[in-house]
Amino acid sequence: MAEKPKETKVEKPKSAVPQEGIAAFLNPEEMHKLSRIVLLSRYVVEGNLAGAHRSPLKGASSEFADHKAYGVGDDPKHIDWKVLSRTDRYFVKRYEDETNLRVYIILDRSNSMGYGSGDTRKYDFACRLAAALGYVVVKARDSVGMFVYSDKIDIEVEPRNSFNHLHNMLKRLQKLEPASTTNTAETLHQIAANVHKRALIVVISDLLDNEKEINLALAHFRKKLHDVIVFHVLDPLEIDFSFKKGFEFEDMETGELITCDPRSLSKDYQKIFGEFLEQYRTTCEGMKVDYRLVRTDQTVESYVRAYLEERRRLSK
Amino acid sequence: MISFLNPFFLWFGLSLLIPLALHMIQSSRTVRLQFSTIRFIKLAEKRSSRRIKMENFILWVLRTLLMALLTLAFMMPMIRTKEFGNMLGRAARDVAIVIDASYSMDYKAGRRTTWDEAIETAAAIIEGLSDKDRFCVYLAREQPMPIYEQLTGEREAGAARVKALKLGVGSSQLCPAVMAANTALEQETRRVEREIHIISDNQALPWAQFKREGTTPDAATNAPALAVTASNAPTSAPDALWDPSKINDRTTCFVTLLGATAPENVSPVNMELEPKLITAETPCRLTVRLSRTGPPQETAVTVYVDEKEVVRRSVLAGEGTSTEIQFMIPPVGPGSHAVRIATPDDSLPVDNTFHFLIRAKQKLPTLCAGTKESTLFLRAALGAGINGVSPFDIKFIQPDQLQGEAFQAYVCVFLCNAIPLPGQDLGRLEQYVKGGGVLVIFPGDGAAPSDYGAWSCMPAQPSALFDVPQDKRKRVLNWAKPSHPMLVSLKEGGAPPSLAIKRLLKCEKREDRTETLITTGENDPFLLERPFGRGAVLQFTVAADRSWSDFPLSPFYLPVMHQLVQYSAGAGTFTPFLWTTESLPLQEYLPEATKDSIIRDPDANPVSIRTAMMDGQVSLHVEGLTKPGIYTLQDPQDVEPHPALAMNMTRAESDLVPVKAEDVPAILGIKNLQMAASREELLRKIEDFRIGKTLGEQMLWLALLIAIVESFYSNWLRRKKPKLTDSLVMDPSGKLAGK
Repeated sequence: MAEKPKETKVEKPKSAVPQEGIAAFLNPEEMHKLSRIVLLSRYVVEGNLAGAHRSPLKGASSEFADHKAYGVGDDPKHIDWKVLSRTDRYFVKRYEDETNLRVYIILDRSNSMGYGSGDTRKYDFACRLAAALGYVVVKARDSVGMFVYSDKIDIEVEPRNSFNHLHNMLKRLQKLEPASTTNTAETLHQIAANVHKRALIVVISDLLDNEKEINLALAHFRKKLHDVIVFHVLDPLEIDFSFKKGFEFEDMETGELITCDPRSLSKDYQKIFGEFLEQYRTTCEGMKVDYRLVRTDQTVESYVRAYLEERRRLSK
Repeated sequence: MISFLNPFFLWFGLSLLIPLALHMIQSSRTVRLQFSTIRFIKLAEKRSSRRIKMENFILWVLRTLLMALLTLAFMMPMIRTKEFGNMLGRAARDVAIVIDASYSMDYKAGRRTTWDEAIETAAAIIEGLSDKDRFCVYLAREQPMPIYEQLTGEREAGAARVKALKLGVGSSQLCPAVMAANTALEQETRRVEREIHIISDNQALPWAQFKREGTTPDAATNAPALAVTASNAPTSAPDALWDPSKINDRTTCFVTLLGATAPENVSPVNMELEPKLITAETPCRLTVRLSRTGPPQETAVTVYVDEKEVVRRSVLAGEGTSTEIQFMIPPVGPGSHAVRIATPDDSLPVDNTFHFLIRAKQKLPTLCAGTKESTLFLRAALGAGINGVSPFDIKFIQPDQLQGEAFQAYVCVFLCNAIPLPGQDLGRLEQYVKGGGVLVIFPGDGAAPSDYGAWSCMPAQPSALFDVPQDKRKRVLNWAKPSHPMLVSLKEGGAPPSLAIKRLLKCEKREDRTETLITTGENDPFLLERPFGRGAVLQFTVAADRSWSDFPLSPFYLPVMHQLVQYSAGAGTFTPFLWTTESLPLQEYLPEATKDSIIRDPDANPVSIRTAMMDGQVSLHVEGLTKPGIYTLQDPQDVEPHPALAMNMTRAESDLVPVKAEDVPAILGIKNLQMAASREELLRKIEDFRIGKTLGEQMLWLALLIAIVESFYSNWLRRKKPKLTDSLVMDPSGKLAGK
């Protein structure tokens, strides 16, 4: 049996009636705490609506961008009369556009995400993390969409900025359980190919797949100028392998079995796993991907708050 | 060779499989646990498989070794020292037991004596033998005393007989007894397992004869050498040189030293009376020598005469040395008086009393045989005394009247020109001398040199009568042995006496032990002395009258004659004490006793007087004088018995200087030697020796050691190792710091 790590239990909403949607993942108190913070993109994003995020397009903000030769259809009120007086040519002034943020949450629901040494599985933690981020995004009037995948894309939800949309999206997520094997790299490539406008890509996964392929997929996102955040969700026992006795371990995705005494293996295991984490960290750092290691023995709300505070501080 | 006391526990050897089984069970436990991926586990296992295998192997070896040791310990492995006996089954053994029977074994430690412990130990050895075993028992005394001289298998009777043994009052030497015991063992050649058990106290004395060339063990040098003398002092047996090579290599010697390690004892060991000649109403001086073992201690010495305390003194008896203490004995009446010297009770009470006799005479009876002319000057000399009263009771007879005389009544017999004598008189005179009398012979013209040939007691056989030339008659007397008791008071004062000697008896062929006391002229003997039996024969080379010399006219004649009688009275005629003995010739020590006399021991039980023929003559021997104390003599005509003999046990054993147990192996020089300090230890060692030595305890200690090592090693393997989480530098937002 898996031993219970010392962890803070995630408090689920207490209600006699089964909760649905966002209420199934966040209680009012958590939502209240999360409502005061926003998720900012570090890069320029392309949105449909006016918003608080910088857009590659020129718009109606007060921030001057450049001049453009007057053409048919341009609003005469934007003609720069001072330039006309000096040069006898008609130029119109253009201003920076500000748009809303489009966030795509890509959630891994492969079988390996179903592991949890305590009460919380990685998948549960990942869902709550996705809900919290979605709530923060919608609260800031930004759009949030979602991809849930295993060996293929299981759910695809286009981004919108309404709570109803978030609610419906989470209701769909609530119905899913970890299943099948994983094919993270291929799936990420597909998603990268489908998302055309610059957006904020949030990957929530345990990344237990071919790391080189996954890194290539992440690079695909960066190539298309997306802002990428990777939440590497891991159980504490996966990191430390600190079992107190021997087991016959069964791979949750392949069903492969191995019998060993973790007490004698833990040193080498930790060394290998450390190299595995370090490889992701260095690669992501090189691609300017925001790589974060998330342990399931912490609370989602406090983690999200800590992360967003950190991100807001770095965005200034 | 190793065998097992509990081979049943061999089944416990299956426990050797327990560690392996546990390992296998642990390895094959099918508690399945779903894990996100086993990819990293496989990689880790590939890396550390060799190390894990080695660790598991070491743990398996330690645990198997632990179980093996526990199995062996419970099987009680025994190292048997007798391989052949084990191969042939239980070998029968011959056992010789030598028990020290000296009176020092009577030393009390608590309520029990060392002797009690010794005989119980010997009985336990016998009772511990098996059916086919045989044994013999020897007591170590002055001479070995066999209890079972030949090997016997009667264990019950043997143990009972040993328990009934009584302690003697003599000394002991272990060496002859051990050699005798070994001889008894050697007579049986078929047996292969032999044991010699020596049971003694801690005293060094019994080990004195274990002297070997090239070894000077402390025990031998420490052996007490109390110079106690008595006329029947046992002649020390010639050193039976101990030869360890005579002890078979297959013979194992067990030495059990049961006595106290720091004994204390005070004992009177000797006495001396001064003067030796005691006449009635004359005080005398008694010198008592004390022996002390242990630290110096104040002790009281009491002297009883006829069981009445006459004097008591305290003295500080020094450690390891003999202390002399002197008493003045008040005058006693004529007759024989029993005197007892006593010291306070201690742990060895048997030697606290010393007995001797004072025999006081009214006058010294002297017999002179010779013609009136020949004894004229002697009569005048011995008749003189203080205030005209002579201390001598002199009787003069003709030579032919000797037949009716009882010589034993006289302290001295003079023969003045009385030779030749009939053979019967000659024999009686010689017997008188053997019994302690002193015979003084003056030659005369009545005897030719050949007439002396029948005398076997003569100091020197005369060869010729020598008429001294006129010019050489003037001669000076020289004291050849001025320290002689007879001459010691004559040597002082004045010039050497000179005589005119006309005729001299030439005595060139001297007998053994003959001493020349006085010489004249050119070393011609003048007075010769020969100890004979317990008495002595003194021979002058001039006549007692003035026919041969003017010696009777010289001023030295009278003192010399007086000294002769007094010397005779003090030398040999009476022995104040004797050592206890099994047999004593009466003619020598108690001449007045006849075959009809009754001699009683200190408990008033009569002792037997045996008649024996020796050299064609009837001799009487009294037997069984083994009890210390005063023996009385009662002749048929006597109404009351009178003290006749004072018997004391020899005092060598009173010196309890202990032998060092660690020195005994060097003293004996035997390869197979086991030492024990108590009966329990001896029996345990016998059991270990016969059965073997168990290694169970050692195995358990080793198992404990292995268990500790295993515990430390397994804990070291499972020590708390640092976690990867601790080494990862991660902030609350999940950002990892680079290495």
